[in-house]
Amino acid sequence: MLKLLLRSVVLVAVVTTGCGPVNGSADAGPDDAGSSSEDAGVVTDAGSMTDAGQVGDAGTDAGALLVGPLGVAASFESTTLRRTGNSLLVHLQDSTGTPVTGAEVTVSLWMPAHGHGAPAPAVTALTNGDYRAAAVNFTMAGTWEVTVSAVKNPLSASQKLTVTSP
Amino acid sequence: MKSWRAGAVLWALLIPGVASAAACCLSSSAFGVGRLALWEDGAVLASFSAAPAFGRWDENGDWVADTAGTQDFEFRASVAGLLAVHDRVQLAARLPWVVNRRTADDIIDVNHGPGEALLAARFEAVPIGAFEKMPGVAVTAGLTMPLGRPMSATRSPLSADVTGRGAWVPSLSATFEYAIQPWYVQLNVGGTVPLPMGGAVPGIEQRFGPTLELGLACGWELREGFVVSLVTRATFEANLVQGDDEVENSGAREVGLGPTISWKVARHWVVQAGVDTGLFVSRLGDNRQGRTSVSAGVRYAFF
Repeated sequence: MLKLLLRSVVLVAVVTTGCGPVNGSADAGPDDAGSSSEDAGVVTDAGSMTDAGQVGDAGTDAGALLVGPLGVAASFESTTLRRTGNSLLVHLQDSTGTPVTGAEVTVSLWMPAHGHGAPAPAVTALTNGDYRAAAVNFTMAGTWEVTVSAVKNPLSASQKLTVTSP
Repeated sequence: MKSWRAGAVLWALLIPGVASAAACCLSSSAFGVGRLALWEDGAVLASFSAAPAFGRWDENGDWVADTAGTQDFEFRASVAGLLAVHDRVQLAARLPWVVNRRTADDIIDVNHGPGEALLAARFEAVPIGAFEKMPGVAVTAGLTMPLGRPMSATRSPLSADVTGRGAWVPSLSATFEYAIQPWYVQLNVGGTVPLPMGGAVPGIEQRFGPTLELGLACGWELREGFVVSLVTRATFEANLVQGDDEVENSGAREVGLGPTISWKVARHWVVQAGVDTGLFVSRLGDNRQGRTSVSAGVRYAFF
């Protein structure tokens, strides 16, 4: 019975923006944000039982079901940015507030006025849907777009922050 | 007689722009690597520059000084050669080597590599001194080759390994020179049109905006073989384009100036040294780092 119920669930993923405390921006970026928008279409098929099970396993409680949209909340640990060594905290949850663990989270850096990016920081998973990029390095001073993308099949979402590096 | 008198001071222009050779943001220039005098068959040049950054102009043209503990030095060594292939046609090539030293917080990032190479051809439309009342006019066509490492390929924490922009850049400039001993004046007007490049944005071609460059130098021969000049410059760069979309506020502009001294130390040798600096106040730059470049060069001519 539970399996049938899982099969009938419709998961919806949308892009979430503007949640961060550091100059959150909803502008579309040149790469990540744009592709995420396309990925954010309605997923009408929860897939096979295997897929539903993978989603269910992502929650804090084993077997819990994730319901889209996927929420991404990203913010820098410190309110004062440095050029290097900034720590970016990311929290993922579904629409019911269930933390999403085991997701693929990437962080990309882009300097729109100069037309270049910077090496992507590594992201490590913590607990309860939390993730951390511990070494966000801005290679030069100026305005940067920090895009956090998260994928937990079949959900995906991204958030973009616009920040100024000293 | 007039042309000889003009040539006596114009040797100071044989290494033009040494003081402004340190590129800002590693952008290319429409101006070439100098010229040969009428009696020269060829020349080789070497120049060195050190250019610390003191801050930046943001996208709104506001000057933002670097914070304490942040340093950005660019050292540049260049070798160049000129060859006369015709009375009015000269070919030139230049290859720089760039060393960056950047510090921020607890990180010291030092790296180096080849910069953007330049090939150029100069045509003397009106030879200097040909007409008493008319300036010499020359046209230089150039091609900057992306031999440096672009930002998209950086591996070091502060991108000190970035030594180029990654784009092929054709350029065209005109030079007007006039001299009446002991004075001379030189005006350069040029532009670049960077070609589209890949790699910066996955799946999208990016094209840096075309530039307009103006340079004005005037000098005075203090004594035989020793000329003091003041060089001013201005650069305007249009917005960059990604795919079919123009990126707002991505254009740049900058003005700068500085003194240069040229010294003909021997029959075949000229040395030159100079300072070039941006003017670090708001509205006199836009979307650029503000640097002061100290440079020196030496030139040996074959004739």
